[in-house]
Amino acid sequence: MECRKIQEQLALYRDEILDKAELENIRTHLASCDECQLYLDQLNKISAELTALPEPQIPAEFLPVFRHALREEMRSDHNETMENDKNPVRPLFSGGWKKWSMVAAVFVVGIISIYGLQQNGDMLNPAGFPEDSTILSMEEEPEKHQEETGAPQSRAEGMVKDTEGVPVEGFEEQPGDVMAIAGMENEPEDWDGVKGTPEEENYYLEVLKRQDGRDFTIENSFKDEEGVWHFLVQYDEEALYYEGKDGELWISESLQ
Amino acid sequence: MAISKEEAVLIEKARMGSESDFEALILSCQGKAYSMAYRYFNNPEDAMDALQESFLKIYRSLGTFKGESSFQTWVYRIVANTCCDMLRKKKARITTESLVKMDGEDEYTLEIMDASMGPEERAIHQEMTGYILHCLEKLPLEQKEIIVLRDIQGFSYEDIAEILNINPGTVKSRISRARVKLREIYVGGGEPD
Repeated sequence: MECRKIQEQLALYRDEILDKAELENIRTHLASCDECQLYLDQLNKISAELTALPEPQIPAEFLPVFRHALREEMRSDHNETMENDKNPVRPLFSGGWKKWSMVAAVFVVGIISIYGLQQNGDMLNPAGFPEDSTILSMEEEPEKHQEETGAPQSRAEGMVKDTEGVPVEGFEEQPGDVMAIAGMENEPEDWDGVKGTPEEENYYLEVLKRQDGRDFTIENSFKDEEGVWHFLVQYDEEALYYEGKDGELWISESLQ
Repeated sequence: MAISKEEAVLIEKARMGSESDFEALILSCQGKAYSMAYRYFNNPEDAMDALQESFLKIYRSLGTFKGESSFQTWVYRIVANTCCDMLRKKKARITTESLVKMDGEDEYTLEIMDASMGPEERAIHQEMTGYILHCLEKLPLEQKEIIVLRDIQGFSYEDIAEILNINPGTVKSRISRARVKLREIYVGGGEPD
């Protein structure tokens, strides 16, 4: 009988919440009871195993998806949401996390889109970004471009060739110009300028369509309060998370 | 006042509809909230569902937060309630197989592993963590919950009382009963008597 009571107290022993009298009673009992000492050892072992469990890290895809859900929530009628609060909330992306989780695991960047044509035979650098940049630029400052390169201001005014020497519609070849578009070497014929403005979703979707010719679906997209477009793009073999603003599209660093 | 002046300002701005201020509020506790939710479900998808649902509830309920507890404790209370509600609904479908994969009769594996471990250490760790989680799943939800909060998440008795909205005496007796039961399952080969 005494052992049973002691064992209940042993379950709280390490938390140091027992009073002095209880602690003294336990110590006295343990000194003469192997069974309760074993019981305490087992409790301590279990405690150590629970403490040693690995700490799960929140997946990177959580925040962008939650932001989207929050914006949807903010848009909804306030009175309606108060009513819904009485009922269980249906997760807006329930069951879709596996697709999002792919995004965090993928960092293969095989996409370079080049527009700025430089003279003197230099390799093109998209909008002046570093060579290893993942930024995809469909915009250029025409005046600056012409001033620096002498190339036509408008894409439609000139004609350039791709790396195979095939003329690219809408561009005019300039001496020393080389156009290299990763993954698009064989299909530049459709390159006729992007419709829409950099403020519109379709603009970036067209950029995406042209970047490497792969089929994709947009799993999710939204524009945040800073005017940045967010796209979760699902390809057959991978998913990538892009952000776009001011005509530029890049792989999101937030998931890298 | 259980909340800081800075928190009070963020809460007020979030109430007015500022997304960035709401995000700043929840970012301070999303790691622990996720960790907590993960331990209720033992899988990331359900944990993220529960976390998203919890955070949306928090956003809707900001007006009811009186500052009687810390903001974090209030968040954890909503996360705990949401996880419990979801778990009760899913209980019929959640089986040991989905929580702890069994490769053999006495072998248990766990999804989260430390990549720095060697093969032998990894195998021992897998078996050990798999077994303790298996035993934890055998507890009634109320007892599992208090073990998660106290022994895995390390919340104080006072915090647990606030999170579960029960008095401290109940916390004490519930922890004691849960640990006694868990030991019984643990030494009994992973099955309750």
